Amino acid sequence: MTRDIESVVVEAIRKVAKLVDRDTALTRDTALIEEQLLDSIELLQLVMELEKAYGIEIPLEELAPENFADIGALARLVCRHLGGRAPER
Amino acid sequence: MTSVLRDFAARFAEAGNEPVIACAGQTWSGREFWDAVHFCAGRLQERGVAPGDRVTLALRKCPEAVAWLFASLLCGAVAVPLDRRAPASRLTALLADLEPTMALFDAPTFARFEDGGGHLPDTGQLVLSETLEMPPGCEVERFAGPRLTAGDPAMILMTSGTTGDPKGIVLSHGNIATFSDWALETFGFGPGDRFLNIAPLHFDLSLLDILTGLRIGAQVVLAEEGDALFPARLCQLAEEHRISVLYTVPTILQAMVARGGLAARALPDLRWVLFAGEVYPPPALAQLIAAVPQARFANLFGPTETNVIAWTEVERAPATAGAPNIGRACAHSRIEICDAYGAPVEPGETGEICVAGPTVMQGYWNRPELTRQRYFADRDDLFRTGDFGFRDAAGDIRFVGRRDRQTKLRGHRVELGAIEARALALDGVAGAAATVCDAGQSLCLHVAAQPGEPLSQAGLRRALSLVLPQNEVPSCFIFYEDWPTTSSGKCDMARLDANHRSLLYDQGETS
Repeated sequence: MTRDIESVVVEAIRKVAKLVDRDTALTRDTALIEEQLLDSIELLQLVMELEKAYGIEIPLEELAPENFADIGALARLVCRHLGGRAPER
Repeated sequence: MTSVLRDFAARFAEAGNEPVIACAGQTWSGREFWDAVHFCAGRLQERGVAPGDRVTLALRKCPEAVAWLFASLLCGAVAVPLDRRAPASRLTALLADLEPTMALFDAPTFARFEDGGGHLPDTGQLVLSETLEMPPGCEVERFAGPRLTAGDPAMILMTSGTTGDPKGIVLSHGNIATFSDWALETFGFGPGDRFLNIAPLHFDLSLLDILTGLRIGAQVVLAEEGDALFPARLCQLAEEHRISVLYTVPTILQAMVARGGLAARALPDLRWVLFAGEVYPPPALAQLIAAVPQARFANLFGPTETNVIAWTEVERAPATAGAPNIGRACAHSRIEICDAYGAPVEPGETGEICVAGPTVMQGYWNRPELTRQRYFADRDDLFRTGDFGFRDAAGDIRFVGRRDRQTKLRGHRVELGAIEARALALDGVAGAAATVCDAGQSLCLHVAAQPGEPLSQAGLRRALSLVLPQNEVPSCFIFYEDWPTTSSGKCDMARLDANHRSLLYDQGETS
């Protein structure tokens, strides 16, 4: 299931991050923060995209570097909030 | 007072096990730090670094990076912290201009630099500094370093220039020591203070946290580079380390209040919150004061070229109307408000904020003509900040705005002209105008295409991200066939800006 979430995360990143375009390779291990692919505004936009896509709410205190380090970490964050439910889409 | 280093030598001669630097779970005692500095200095000297030589640092922010910085100073070299995330082409150009005797990289940064087609000038020796490889328990030889005078260059801080070429601000040991002495005296910092360093090493705000904090044996907590994106993480660091001094830009403080839960944190030791770099919107400032009422607040003012030249302690109920108050000149400097010819204007009248004093930079690296332009033709004593303001009835200086098109984007200084110059250098671009909108939050590039040349947003973005720092790559592009002009034939910025606002509105409707 996290595999599906990962592709949604990738889609959301492509939508909000201005430094990412179709030619930018995004894999599970792409270091989003280390590579500074997101700025602070885009980070919030990304959270909003994911909240909208899954009907979840990510609390502010979970906006932490370890949850945004890479696509795998983001997918796990979303997955935790789905409480193990399969994504409704 | 020639150099802050003299204090370090005295301080660390008897340095013990008290923590002085903490970062990502790692803590260095005074003795460990000073050992590391001497170890690095020894390596610099082995490789022939002599007084006045440049040492560039493209290093991830960590205690080792700070040790290399101090080691460069100890050797009498000029330390140049670089934005390691800058495009390879930009770093290559910077290194060619700086001709460093030693170019320090960490391994991932160097790999990216090489992958991006970057190359070192012939003079630079490369050192990869992932770890210091200092054998545990090794005896590090202590040495005094060359004798330094106030006029000797200590650091070069890079900022973007109006032509698109970056310029290096040369700061002397005297410049830095004057600022540091002033900060110590003004805010009464002591060895018991704990500073949270949020700014990157290449940003002048770090001169307070790192140089002044370590100088007095206080503890400096380094936020990691990515932490600035996560206001809750910054608040957590402040709480965990019982931070007593916080110095950053208003944008970050606002985020810490709004999204980091600053008010809910236990920060019993927080004494001073200092901010600089942009205007703090008054309603947001009132929220900050309400969030941490135990602290005192001060606004510091001055471009990187002069460091802080004016300051004011913020009142509990900050004024909500009128031009922002930047206070009075620091004790070390004299400020004059001048007209275009360098003559003082009447009180209450707006003019350029000019300064004479020992914190004014030595000049721009390798750019004597550019340096000369910062002074009036017949007055070489007054440095022109490029900021406009006036003196109010009480004698405080009120900030009005910038003279040129240098502006602030999310708290960072950008030269709109530099971004336009880069865009104009691209194929198919006939005209380019950059505007900052959304209250300083986003950068928009208006582009006139050459007839018959198809331009795409993705293509322009990719091309610009190769030559501009990431925070200067526009987030929005608007294409024009017909460039709006004023009667004098110049690009009509007011119309471009209005156009952008209506476009934003349209997008809001459809999404």
